[in-house]
Amino acid sequence: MPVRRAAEERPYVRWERQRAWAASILTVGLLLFVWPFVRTPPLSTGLTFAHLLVAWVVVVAGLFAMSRALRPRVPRRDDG
Amino acid sequence: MAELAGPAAIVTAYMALLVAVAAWAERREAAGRSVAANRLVYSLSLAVYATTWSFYGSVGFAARHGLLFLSVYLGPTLCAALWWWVLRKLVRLKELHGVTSLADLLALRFGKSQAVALVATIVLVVGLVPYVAAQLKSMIVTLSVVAGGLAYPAAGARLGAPLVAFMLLFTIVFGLRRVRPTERHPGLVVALAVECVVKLVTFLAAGAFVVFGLFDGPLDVFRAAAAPGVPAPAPLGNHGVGTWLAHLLVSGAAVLLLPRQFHVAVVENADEGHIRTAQWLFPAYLLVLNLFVLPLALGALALRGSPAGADTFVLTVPLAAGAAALSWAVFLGGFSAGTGMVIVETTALATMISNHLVVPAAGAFAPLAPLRRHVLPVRWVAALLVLLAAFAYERVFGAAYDLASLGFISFVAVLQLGPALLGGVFWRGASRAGALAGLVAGFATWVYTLVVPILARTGWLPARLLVEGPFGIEPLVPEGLFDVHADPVTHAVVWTLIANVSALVIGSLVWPASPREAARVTRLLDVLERPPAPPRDAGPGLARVEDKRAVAERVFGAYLPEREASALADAALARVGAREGGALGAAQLAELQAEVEATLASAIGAAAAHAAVRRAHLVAPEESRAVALAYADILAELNVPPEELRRMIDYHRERERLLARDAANQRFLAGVSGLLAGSLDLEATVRTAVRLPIPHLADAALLALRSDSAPRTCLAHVDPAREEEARAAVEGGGLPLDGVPSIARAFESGRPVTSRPRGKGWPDPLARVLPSAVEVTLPLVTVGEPLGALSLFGVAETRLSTPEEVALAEELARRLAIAVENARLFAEAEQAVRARDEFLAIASHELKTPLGPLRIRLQTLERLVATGRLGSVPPETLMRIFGGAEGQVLRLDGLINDLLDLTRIRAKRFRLDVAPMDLAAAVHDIVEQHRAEILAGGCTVSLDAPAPLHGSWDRRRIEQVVANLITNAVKYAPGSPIEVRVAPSDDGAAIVVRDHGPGIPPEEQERVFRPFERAAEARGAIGLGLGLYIVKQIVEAHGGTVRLESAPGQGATFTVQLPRAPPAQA
Repeated sequence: MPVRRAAEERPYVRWERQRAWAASILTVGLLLFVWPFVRTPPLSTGLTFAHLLVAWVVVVAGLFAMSRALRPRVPRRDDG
Repeated sequence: MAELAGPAAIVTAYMALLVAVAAWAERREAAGRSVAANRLVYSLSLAVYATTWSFYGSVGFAARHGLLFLSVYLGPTLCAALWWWVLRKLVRLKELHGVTSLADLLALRFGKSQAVALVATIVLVVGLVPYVAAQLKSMIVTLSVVAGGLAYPAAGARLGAPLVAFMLLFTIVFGLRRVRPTERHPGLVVALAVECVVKLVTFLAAGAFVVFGLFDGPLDVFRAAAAPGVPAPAPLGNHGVGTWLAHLLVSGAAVLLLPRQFHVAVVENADEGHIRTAQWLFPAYLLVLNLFVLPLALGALALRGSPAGADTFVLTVPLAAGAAALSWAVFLGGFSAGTGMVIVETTALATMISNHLVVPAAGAFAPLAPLRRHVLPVRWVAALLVLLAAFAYERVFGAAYDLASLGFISFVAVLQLGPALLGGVFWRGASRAGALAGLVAGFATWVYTLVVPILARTGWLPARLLVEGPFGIEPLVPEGLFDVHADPVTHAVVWTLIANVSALVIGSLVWPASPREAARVTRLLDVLERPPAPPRDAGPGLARVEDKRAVAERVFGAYLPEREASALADAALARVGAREGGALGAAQLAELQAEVEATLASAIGAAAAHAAVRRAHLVAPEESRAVALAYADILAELNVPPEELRRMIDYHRERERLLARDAANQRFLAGVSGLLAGSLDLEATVRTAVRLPIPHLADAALLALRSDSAPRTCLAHVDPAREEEARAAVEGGGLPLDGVPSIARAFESGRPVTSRPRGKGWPDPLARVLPSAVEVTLPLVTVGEPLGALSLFGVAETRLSTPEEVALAEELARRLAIAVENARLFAEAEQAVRARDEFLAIASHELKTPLGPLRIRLQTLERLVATGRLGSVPPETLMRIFGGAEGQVLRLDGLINDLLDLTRIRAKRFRLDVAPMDLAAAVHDIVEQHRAEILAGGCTVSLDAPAPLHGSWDRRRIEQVVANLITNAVKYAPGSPIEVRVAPSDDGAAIVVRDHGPGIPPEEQERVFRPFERAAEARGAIGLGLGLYIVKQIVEAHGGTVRLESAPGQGATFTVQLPRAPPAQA
């Protein structure tokens, strides 16, 4: 019964992968958001603002990718 | 008040528009075409998070503290990564237990405790009054700016009362019009989404005006802000990274803990799948909203040279620049942000006050009992009190604090619910005592560290308290507890969380939950893993359905209108499987109690509902004992601990669900086989087959069968109108289905092809009709090439989404392919039998025909012999009689030879006797042999074979070919000339026989080479119809070809092309 076993194992694997997504986004996002304020010498307000905007876009992109990865997996016998 | 006429007219018109939008959304919801249940609308409605604080306060905050304002939006962005676990779990709990608010959820988690709900309500109401006050302040300030001639704070005295009345009116219209069993407000959600678009567009317009209209872009703004004399703030103002982190934490928690956010995100959620979209779209909205905040603040500072009045820069800068229309738009956007927040926040707080304060009090104190029948007016009064308290707060403290400061005070207050919520949802050891201790300790610390300093600074408490501490104990100074000094918000966050979490943990460890409560919590928190419970066995009857219906109706009727109470009681009984006039078993009684409680909880909260159901004795004490005994018997019989029992129950439920599903699938397949076996007619089988998957497996199905011409197609759809629309196009044929990629791939791979959404390439008439969410195309294969394809379509992604469903579809396709193949073979067999019968009739006739003349000649001879006149008959006469007899014998011989050849060909025993020969001589001989027959048919023959043509062929068979072609010409073109030509060709030789008869239509030219074809079609003609068939077989056995060129009225030309030598295997 290989198909059934795969179906039983899949949720656990997906659960782990989803946790990895969340942990990665949180860690990377936090580092990106804090970095300009712990950097020496400090950045100017304009550069800090630009850095935070770019970091924000990166985190939103990560959240978008995570959202796609969280979609229910549909069994595909073919790639179609 | 005349100066207010313009602004009042604008905001009233705008609110009327939102009411119209909400009414439209409600009508759509009632019609089953929900607008609110949409992932985009849901995501946008979450942006009610952006209030006037975001609209005006962020710019003021940026002007004073640099980039610190971004923490309010970056915190939620980071925390959105956790929504799939946290928010989804809350939504599941809401769906299962009818949760209406955060306080309600905490009560549900901690033993349906009214105390927990009450404390949480107090924390939220007290904590959020400053936040609502900030909105009122902002609206008053901006109204006074656009109205002109009014100054803040004095303007508040004139504007306050009408503003509070305005807010109350629209709070009631949008959120408190009725008590709903689900507490969902689709109209409100859609109106919020519209409001969020309005404030985004107007804010971006204001930002773009300042940055690109008053300056030459962002770089110019930053250059101007860096000029000497401009009071531009440092990146974090005067604060450090600790403040940044604390603000990130507070904001990240607030986006879910604020009552309006919880209401929109959890209570109004229509589909947990929408969370996936919201978790990136909501942060993206915040990102876009904040693009111009800092440039706008710095630009305004460069223009004004002072941060004074920074909270209204967004409005005053365009106004000062003469952009009146933009200023009105900005005012509307800001007002929109404020009203959205106030309406939802007040709705949520009023619901909590009624559910967790008034309703429990009405249950506990007899004089208040009538209030239970008036839940709606109670909520209106609660909303009024919240608004009045906020207005009073604004009047007393508003002038001394900016918008952001007021907002953060509230954020820290709602943060106090975080440990109880997250600890409660993710830590099973958290107990009611711990939660209460944590909430009280955190709230008290919040009051001491944030509220006391406000009171001290505004003269309500001694100011020395902030310097000397209470009783002169300096380490207890409210803003520097134990000599820890930071900005007020960071300081409060640190100490409130320490107090709150410590009390929660210690309280839970010292006073843990009872084993019974712990088991309930385990069940409650397994909400993400537990499959839905199937219906249970009723067991022996304990109570009459009618009695329980009356009690349930009374419980609902205490809080809801009579008709609604009656309907809810019926619905609850129906859900537990009760039958009218029947009895309820132990399990049903327990379920009924849970159903009634969950339904009532949706209206008045979990704790109050629990208390109400217990008071009403829906399950009487003796029945309760019977229920307990029933469960105890089960436990004793099984001899397993409760945890093990629960696992076993879950296992058996899952097993039962799988068995039920398998049984349903088996029934489906059995039905399929039965229907397909009902007929061997191909047309009927196709029409039946295409309907089989609907609706069990799919919403539409298309069956395409391969054929020599256009594919034969048939379509079925759950919607008869759509089916009718497609029928003409599909069944008319001519659709290029082989060009559809999914069908082509299914044919090529011989496996199912799944596409989500539906694959591309379907012809237009079908693409308009076929559902687009999912497509599974299955090849119909038995042996060899696929017979066709079955395409299944679904309107929802969930269709054909499990391996079992796809396997079922494959099995259906397999059975369908067998049925189609059987029908096709049956049709072919019928055709073969018909052909055989016709052949036998014709062969009998043809074989019998020569026998008549032969018998006449034999009888003539017999008579001559018997009468002794044989000797007197002239020899010529005798020779004519014998010659005629021989002719008939030869004719019989020819017919029998044809049949023998056919037999050899069919049995693959047809062999050639190849030898070198002269083709021209052979053709010449055969023409000469048939010359008499040709002349007898009224024809003339000309032979063009000028030179010998040598090669290796079977002479006898080649002569048979030429003879058949000549005989054919004589038979079908009597009286016309026949031309025979033999000539060398590129790689061999060609024999051409041409007649000038009536010709053969193009559509029959392929058919004349089939066996018996002529015999079947032209009964009047002589012969078996095997001549041309045998010609073709002989020529092909030589490795050659025979070609027919003809047109009606233009005769027929048969060209035989032969290689010099046949292939070795021939």
